[in-house]
Amino acid sequence: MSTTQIWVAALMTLACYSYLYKENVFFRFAEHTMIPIAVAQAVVTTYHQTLIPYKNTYIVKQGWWWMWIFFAAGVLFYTRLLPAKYSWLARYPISMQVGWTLGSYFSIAPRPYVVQMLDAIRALYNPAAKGAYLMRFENLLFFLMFATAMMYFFFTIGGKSKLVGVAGQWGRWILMVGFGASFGNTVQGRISLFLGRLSFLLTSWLKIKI
Amino acid sequence: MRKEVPFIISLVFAVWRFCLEAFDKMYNYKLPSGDLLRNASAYAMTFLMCGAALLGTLNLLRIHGNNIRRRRANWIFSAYLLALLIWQIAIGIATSHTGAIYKWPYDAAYLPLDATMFSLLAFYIASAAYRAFRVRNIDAAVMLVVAFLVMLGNVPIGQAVWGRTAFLGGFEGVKNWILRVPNAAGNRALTLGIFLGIMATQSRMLLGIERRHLGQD
Amino acid sequence: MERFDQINPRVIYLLLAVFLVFPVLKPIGMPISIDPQLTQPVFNWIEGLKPGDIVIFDVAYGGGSDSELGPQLKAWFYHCMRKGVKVVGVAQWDTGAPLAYTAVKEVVAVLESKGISAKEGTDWAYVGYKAGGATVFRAMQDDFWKACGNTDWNQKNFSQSPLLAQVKKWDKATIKGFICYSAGSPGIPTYTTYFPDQDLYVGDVAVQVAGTSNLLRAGQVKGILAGLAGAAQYEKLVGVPGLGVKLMDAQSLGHLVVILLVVLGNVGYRLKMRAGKKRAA
Repeated sequence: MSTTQIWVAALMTLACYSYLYKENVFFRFAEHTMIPIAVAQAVVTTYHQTLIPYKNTYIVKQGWWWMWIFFAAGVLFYTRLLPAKYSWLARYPISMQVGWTLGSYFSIAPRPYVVQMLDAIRALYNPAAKGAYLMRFENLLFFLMFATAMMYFFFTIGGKSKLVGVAGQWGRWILMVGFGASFGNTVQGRISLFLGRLSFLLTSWLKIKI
Repeated sequence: MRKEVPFIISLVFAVWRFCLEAFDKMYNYKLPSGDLLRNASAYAMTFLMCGAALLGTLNLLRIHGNNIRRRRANWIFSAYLLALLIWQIAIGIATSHTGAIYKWPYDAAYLPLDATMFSLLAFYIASAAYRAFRVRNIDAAVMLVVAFLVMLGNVPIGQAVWGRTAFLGGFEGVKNWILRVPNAAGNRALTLGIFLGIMATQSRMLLGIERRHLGQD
Repeated sequence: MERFDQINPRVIYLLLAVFLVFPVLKPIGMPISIDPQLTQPVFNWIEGLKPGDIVIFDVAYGGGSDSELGPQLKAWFYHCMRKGVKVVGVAQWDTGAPLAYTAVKEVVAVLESKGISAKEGTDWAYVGYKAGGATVFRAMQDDFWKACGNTDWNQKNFSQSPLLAQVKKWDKATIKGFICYSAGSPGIPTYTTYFPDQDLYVGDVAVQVAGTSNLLRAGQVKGILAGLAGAAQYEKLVGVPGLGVKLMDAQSLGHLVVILLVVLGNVGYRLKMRAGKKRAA
């Protein structure tokens, strides 16, 4: 980055941090700078990295003129911004996208979840898989924790069955362990974000060696 | 007909995609150009999204254009936003996404701002942890103890206090066991539960019971 | 003492900032240990490859996560170039694509100053962002060139790159593993869904590590670089301490501040409850 860019970056950073004291005009200016550049980035990279290469590769070289039909369907998305007389036209591309996603959910999307389910019950169908007793015990413990955590979500049965109710209570504690682990890692993540900005301000802007 | 035709379209695309993935002959079918049929379908759907690339831009133009037209509070900022948006798009498309003029504001303003907006969360998490993390029952106590163990297992000070060579592998060893066993079990239960919920909703959409994504008439 | 749970938020912000600035300016130098479950497998993967093997990195993060994932990417890329492993970069996020390119170029400058070959097009190539999401990435498995429209990040044709000439498809014979630097969606699920047979490693933001540990256990992911700590550990393994190592002391103090704040808040809360019960009695 040039010196001017570094100064602009530093001032924008400080404008953003001023929000911690209270909302102010500098923060609003920073906000209104960030949004248009982000939106423009999506448009420009899509244009140069996908639209033009695909047009050249498939439409120009291979003669796949029918791709323009899909492009025109995509343009129908903009009718959402028009009055109700025309906005229903956006349903066509939406339904194409939704259908395309639906098809994957009933074919290929379950694949990683099946792998996880099989791994969860590994202790039951392949107890000697890893060999070591500690590993076998851990796999069994994992399965019990997984099963009780699943049972927590059996809301309709939990009230009627004592087993599901008690197991669900244990499952709730297992979920709490997960949330605690998430919180612990989140603290590290958030502090890292600030440290990144701090290192920029100290090294690049103020030229302090760290 | 304004809802029936889109429903039929989504059914056709869903069946098409399913057949492409599920049946070997269709999965491996090659077009005369040498491209696989399923890849050609993927390119077509990608080109569809290229057609909609300006949706965010037009939405911003509409909202901030209204602000300027009606001279709402802070309309000057809206004018600035739209000017910058049009400039960036014009320069970006005319030159390229790697061009010096296009990249200048991106590197100088957007990247630092994006990082700084997220870094505000560091302060918010400290403040939120202080104000909201109250041990009122066993559940919260379990969560708190695990959070402390994981936090200390992540950083050198925890490893200095209770090291890896000590009993149970120290904070790091305990943290790794927590992540590997109870956390993974709970996470997996949550993930599978969410997936089953998504499958249920998708089934409703496939059967036409759920049509909210098509909007109101 | 009951006022412990009524500290002004701005005081908390200032306290945190002060406790983070000082160890950055004056590091304490606490030793960093390598996580055998998360970080070591990622290092072992590259270390076990031969010169000329090709690996792929995927940028699935934006500017907001660059503080954590940027140092990870730099340390990993340095390791690859030093080993002679060839690297191809792609991006699922448009906002992160230029970031990763800049980060890689910074490492290239350091490598070249040390006489290690890091030539763009020969030792590494950067394709960048391609719209279309997971289905286009899946198409790269069968025909990488066509799925990318034969164009790299600098809009050069793939045929101009000797490295990309070797990467026609993403099969196990060609690609010796993926690393996905992920901060959200789209990201890891692209690989667990469409590339289940490939070795997948993850450079993860710390927030997601709890969820990704689930995938590690199931064998869908082989190793994880967990946030800035993961970056620091990898830098130590590679022997080139960078930003990750320098900021770990501040991480330690930051964690202690948060623990202290939680304890203070709960102490104040308990005392207030007790005082309330006494008044009621």
